[in-house]
Amino acid sequence: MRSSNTEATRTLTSHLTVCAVQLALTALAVLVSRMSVGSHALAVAVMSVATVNGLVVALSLMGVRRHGWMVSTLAVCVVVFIAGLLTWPAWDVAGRARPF
Amino acid sequence: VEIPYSVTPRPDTGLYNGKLGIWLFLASELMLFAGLFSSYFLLRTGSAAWPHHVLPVVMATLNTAILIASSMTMVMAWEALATNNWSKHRTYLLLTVALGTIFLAIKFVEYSHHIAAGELPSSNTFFAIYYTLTAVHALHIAGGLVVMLYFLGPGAKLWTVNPDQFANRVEAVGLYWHFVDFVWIFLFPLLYLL
Repeated sequence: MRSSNTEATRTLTSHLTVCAVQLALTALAVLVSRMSVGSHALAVAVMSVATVNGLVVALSLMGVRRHGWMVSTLAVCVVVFIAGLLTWPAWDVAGRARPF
Repeated sequence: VEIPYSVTPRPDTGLYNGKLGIWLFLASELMLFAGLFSSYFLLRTGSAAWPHHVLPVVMATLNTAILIASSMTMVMAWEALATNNWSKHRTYLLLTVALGTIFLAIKFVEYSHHIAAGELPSSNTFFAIYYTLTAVHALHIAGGLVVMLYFLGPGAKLWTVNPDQFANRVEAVGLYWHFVDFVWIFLFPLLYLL
């Protein structure tokens, strides 16, 4: 009973830590967005923070790497697809696009 | 006829049917949102002007915190089942539903302010993509809430018949709920901060 309580406390602590990290990253994204730097650098900085936050959700909460090779493969395929989907218009409009 | 691997994982994939199904569903959902994000980038980079800081950042930050907290309560609802703690599971699932409902209520208030100010999807490209992205996301939240309410109501009977299958179903809903959180983490900076 004692060990299960200890385990439960450890689990709760780890969940609270993940939650706190996510909240801190959200606050950081808001703070970074208020900085007076160039619009391109700002977009890169804010989206980098968001990407880290997204990775915390995908790896820690969804456990993408925990569920075996099939889920990992599926995740890689989706990431490649999305990267292509987002990179293609970025490349396509590179010559005429206005910066963020 | 008993369907194989509906509760136990297949030896080759390590996944039971429901989990494979939810991951394939989430992959397709991610592609849907990726298409919408791609549209957003095209519209934004192609427009002559783009409004900045016209959306309520404080309200959206609060909503982000609520969604993050709901992800945590969702995990705890599922873990409570692993320790056979039914009442704890119900409490955490109910908390998740409450937090999801608060998220939608705040979104409703946000929409009301914009509509009252005459900022409609037809106003400009920015509001068109803002309403599209956030409304599709809000629909996903609402869908998740319906499933969770089912597990709090009539779906809860499965726990007495087949507790492992019930736990698997709650895990699948949890994965979906984290996915909704994941999408919002990118929507929030793109629409509200940049």
